[in-house]
Amino acid sequence: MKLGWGIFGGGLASNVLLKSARISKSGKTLPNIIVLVCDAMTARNLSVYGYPRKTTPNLEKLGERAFIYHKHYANGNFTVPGASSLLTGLKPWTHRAINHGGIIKKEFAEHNIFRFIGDDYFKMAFSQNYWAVSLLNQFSPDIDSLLPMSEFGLINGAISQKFKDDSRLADQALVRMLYSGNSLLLSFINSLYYQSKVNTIPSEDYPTSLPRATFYDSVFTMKGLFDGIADKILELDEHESPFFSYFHIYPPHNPYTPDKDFMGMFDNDGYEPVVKREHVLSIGSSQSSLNNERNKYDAFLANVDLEIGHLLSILQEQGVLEHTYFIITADHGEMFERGTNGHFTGLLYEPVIRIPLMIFVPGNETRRDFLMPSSNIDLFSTILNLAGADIPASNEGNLLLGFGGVEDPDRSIITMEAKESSAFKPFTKATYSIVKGNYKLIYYHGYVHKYQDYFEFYDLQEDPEEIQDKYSKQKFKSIISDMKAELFSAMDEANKRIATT
Amino acid sequence: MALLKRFPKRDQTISVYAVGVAILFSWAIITTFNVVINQWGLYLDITEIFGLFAYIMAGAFVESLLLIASLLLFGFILPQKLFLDKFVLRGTILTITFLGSIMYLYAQTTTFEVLANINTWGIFFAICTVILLLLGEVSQFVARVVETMADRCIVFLYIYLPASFISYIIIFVRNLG
Repeated sequence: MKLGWGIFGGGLASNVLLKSARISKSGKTLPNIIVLVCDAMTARNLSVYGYPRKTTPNLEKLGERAFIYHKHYANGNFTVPGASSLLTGLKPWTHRAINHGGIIKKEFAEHNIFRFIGDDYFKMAFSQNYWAVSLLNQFSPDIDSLLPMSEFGLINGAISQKFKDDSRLADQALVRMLYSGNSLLLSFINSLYYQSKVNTIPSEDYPTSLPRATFYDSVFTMKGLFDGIADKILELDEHESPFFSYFHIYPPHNPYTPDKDFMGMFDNDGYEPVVKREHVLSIGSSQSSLNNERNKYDAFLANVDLEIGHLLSILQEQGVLEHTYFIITADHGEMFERGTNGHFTGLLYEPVIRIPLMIFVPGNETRRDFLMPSSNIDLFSTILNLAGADIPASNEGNLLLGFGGVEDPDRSIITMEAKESSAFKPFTKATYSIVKGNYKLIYYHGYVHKYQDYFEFYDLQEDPEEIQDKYSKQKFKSIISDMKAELFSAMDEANKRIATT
Repeated sequence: MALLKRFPKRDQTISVYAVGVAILFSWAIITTFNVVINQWGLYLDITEIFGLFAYIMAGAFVESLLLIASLLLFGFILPQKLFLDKFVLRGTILTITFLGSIMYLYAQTTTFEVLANINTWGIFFAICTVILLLLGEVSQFVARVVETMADRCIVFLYIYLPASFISYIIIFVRNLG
């Protein structure tokens, strides 16, 4: 059976065909949709996006038949707001999952992609990141199969759904008790037991340590993880009905633990990253430490790239990609500059918020590059559109270009960070980034010294490394004024909304 | 009856248990308050915060039972003169040094590094225990201070055990579905 994409509501080029699409319970012909979220994967360190190191040769090759979004942004700089926006189509100041360990405001818990995609789809979700699991638990009534964190791991950790009716609180309590040491004795016993157990697992491919997700007992191998995902997808594909699956994998998140073939592959390769002045809000890492961490991260990225390549080749061989949209993105980025490594920061520079978005479209054999800014809330409406589902008016994203979206040079992408603010009150301490075309305005509010209220402005076209702050330049006065007005207006609206609830 | 002689008297057991309860519950409450101020207060409502406290108090109660059960087992296994004859003094010292050394370990590192630091912890625990046990043997004053402290800790049982009971009720209600 050959069907045009227009059938799926995407408004795509009519010469791209969808083979063997699935028939839903209600008799509709629908494609499968797979979302692979790679935690903490910054677009800035991927060679497919122009990074000088060859970190993603497989994605480069595969990208020749993908839709590639070059200015795609996360809506937050860590998992909770980033994944929440992707899954709800709402901005962080609307869904209010802004804190480390935070969750989506109760009134928006039903505003999730699993609910809106409808019952025509079999819905499966998996996350190796505990904080994303907390969000998925909120959506669990709308998910047909919510896989445990340890699904593709080597051992079953202590965190489980023992308290079915109170799993969110019980799990949070268990995390505090067992992993954060709030229970002095239980955490000690748990640590000794699981760390000893992990030590007994053969790990010849990982000379230093096995990759692990959020907790010390959530160990896995890269091959095991990706093979497990491939098997799960093939299993889902055996059914006649279409499926929507969300895989949120931990790599390349810290700790960076590539296997032995990738370990150290970029050490002493001569690459010198641009050295940037330490930021007042940084954690004070030295440049040599930043470079060292970057080397490890890049090696881990190369390992992830290989496994994604394997995964896609399996799906290609088995014919799954003929009727499946495969979306690769991230929840946030990672940075190794200005005295900060990682993403636990108040900073919103490009490396920590600009993320990859590559979409493999069934039947498509050519590469398409999109240069207009987009963000992860756009995935919500785009996926619903592909699934032929209604897009709720409350959705705050746009359709992506190539899937019915239209170019809008006036569109702004806002990312924010407010982990130290209350989710119930107007933000007291936050950083906002607003990107419009080639320009980017960063606003710091509530921090120390001048960062109590401070702006930075960059021309990303001329200065992609964000080194020359042009906030005080007369030339940009008008655009800065417009961007500030837009940001403050949106913030006021969000604050009013929170004040009235 | 011969078997029962291998266990300490009830009031001795309660004194030593009270020391464990005082340390375990106080630690759980203080560290959890820290989380409430820095994290939970930002995104959880008051009923959820109480719910989380309930789980943590329930956990502390389980810990206290584990601890006293281990000490009773020691008393049962070890020669009577080595442990059981001075159960309050030695049980209290063991409780303090064992839990105190874990606190020390957590002050130096995270739970993620427990196994990697187990030797350092073990040495610290052993030295502290030996020193305190020797002091308890040679100094009547130290022995009296330790035993008096264990006795005074009983007041914590009147606070923490009812709190545990309430916590279990809260957990039960939250899981009624």
